[in-house]
Amino acid sequence: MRNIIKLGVFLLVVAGLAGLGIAYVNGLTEPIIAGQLLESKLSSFKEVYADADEIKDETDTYLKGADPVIAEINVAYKNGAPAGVIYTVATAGYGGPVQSLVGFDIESQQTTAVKVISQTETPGLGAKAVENSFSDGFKNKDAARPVEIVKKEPVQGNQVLAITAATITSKAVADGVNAARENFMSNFVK
Amino acid sequence: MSLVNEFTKGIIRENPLFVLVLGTCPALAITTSVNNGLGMGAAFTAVLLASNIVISALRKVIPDSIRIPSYIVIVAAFVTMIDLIMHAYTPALYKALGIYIPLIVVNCIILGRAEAFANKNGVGASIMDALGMGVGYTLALVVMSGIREILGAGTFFGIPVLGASASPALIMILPPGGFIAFGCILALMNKLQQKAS
Amino acid sequence: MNNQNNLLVVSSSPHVHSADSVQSAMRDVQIALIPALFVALYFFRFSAALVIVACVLSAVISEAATQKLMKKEVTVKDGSAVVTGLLLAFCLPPAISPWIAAIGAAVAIVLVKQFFGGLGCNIFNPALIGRAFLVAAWPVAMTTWVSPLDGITTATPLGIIKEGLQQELPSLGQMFLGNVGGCLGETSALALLLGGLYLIYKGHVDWRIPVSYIGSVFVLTAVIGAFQGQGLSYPVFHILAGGLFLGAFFMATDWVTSPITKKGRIIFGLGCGCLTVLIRLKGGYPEGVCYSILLMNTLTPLIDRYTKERVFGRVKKHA
Repeated sequence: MRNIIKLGVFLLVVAGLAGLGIAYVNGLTEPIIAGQLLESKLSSFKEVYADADEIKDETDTYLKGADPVIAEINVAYKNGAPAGVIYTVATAGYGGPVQSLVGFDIESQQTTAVKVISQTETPGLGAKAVENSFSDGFKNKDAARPVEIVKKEPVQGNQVLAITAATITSKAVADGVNAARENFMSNFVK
Repeated sequence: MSLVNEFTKGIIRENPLFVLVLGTCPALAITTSVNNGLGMGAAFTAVLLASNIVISALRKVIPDSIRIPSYIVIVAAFVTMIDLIMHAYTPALYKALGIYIPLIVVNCIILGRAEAFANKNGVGASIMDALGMGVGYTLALVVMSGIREILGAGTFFGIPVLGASASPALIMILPPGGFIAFGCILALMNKLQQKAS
Repeated sequence: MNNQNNLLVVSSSPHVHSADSVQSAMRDVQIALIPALFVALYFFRFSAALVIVACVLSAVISEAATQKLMKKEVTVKDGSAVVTGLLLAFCLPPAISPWIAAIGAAVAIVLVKQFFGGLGCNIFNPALIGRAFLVAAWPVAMTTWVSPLDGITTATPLGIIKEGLQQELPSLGQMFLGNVGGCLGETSALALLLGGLYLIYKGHVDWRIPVSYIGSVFVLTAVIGAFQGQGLSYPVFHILAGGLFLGAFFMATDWVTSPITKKGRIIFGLGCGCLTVLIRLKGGYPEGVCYSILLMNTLTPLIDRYTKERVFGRVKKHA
């Protein structure tokens, strides 16, 4: 019995010391990590909507209840008035969820840009969705029409060229854009 | 055994990955680019070094009957610290290695070295052992990821080496390519060892 | 094996011995592949010839080279490497570059056949792994199809259905003859049927596997088609499309990697059929013959084990 207590106390001390060590390192790194996350978030926001003075998270205002696709809605302000909207969307790709940012310009009612921010698609195939060669196809699309993935050179304004041999990933990104587009049409277009 | 010997044995003769065949899970998963291999090797070596030092220093204090849980707690603490530090200072690498950093906790090389070496030897020898094993594991990861990156992506350290006209065999940076590369290297190592002995 | 003479040799299937040698059996398979070969050469011309030559040469050379390196007897004369090379070439797109085809054949022979111990010891069908390797390694090249005769880029019939393309499906008659896009040896059901029947007639192939395989695909797609309000042309389309005939007659019936019991062969064929339909209708790829046979290959020892004929009576224990 005494032995068990002794061993227990020993483990307690080891775990306590380990905990102290981790707490110390955490205290050192926490502000850096938080700053980094914020910075990367803002810089990717900038990539899809560059012309903004301030970006505010207004998910609760524009999203009624939970949405299966749209995770966040951020509004970009210019001179105190809303100028653009940035949607964070997640759709099912080939290897897991594909998370992307979709930016809209309120005045022109067009997409500004699309950026895939996290994905687990096949390297060399679906993973090419992060490259500009694919996402540039989503620039300046009319928000009134659903975007459509095509396998040959696009002929119509709402068409986007698929990634070669990765139609599923391409469609997943397009699904996200379309979900964001619908929300944009109902909330920001009068 | 001299300290130099403790260091060199981990590099080829008792290479943790290719001879002892330990730590294969991260080796198969993250060796898709030399960068990842090097980063994983460095993180692993740091954890192994720290845990070997602490465990060999405490080897007379830790009661025998609860040594495994004690080791696990110590190793887990160091892994968490490394995880936080990498997240803070090398975010790109942290994102690429993902779940495999926390999984260093259950990397059998670390617990294996604690059990087989650090709890029987002094701090100095344990440091050399950890460095040797760490360098050996890192080298093994770099070799494997080098082969896979060149064949599968046509690059080495992200620099194109195959020329623009050659299309690399994508399978080599996919999971099956990991097994194929690992199997071929193991066969080669066995062959060389047979010849040597 | 020389130093282990006193050990009991446990070999994998086939255990049944007949007057046939490996050589004569392989020759018959080559004869059976000739109709499909001619159709491939007729429809896909020079590019088909190039791919076939690359595959066969690479298979034979890599077999001889590995056997030399591993200090084994060189057995390329038995013709099995030629057959593997031919079969691999038959399930590759005609427009693929010859060096990719050659790598596929080398992988099939070295990795799948020789590393596992050579003829008769491989777990998987070498040609199919060669194809699976190439699909993972060069997915774009492996899914670029050309139409017969004119060589213009097109889609396979199954691809048209899977992707929902706005393209007219070829008629069932064209699919039976082989005048459609697809792998170079798989398009003509007629030629493959001729070769398959020859093999069955010669006794190299048990009718149970192809019949249960193609039959289960037919029945399953007929039932599914009926639910979707489609007529009998739907199941007929599915058995003529893709590599089903090639797979059912030449790949699933591989002596080494398919079950040896009669009941087992029917189970094997049914399993292949169900998996093929599942992959075609629900999977990410338009065609599922290759993966379904490979998956069933892994189950072959298990199927053999549970379908073995029961032995009546018992053997006396050794004293």
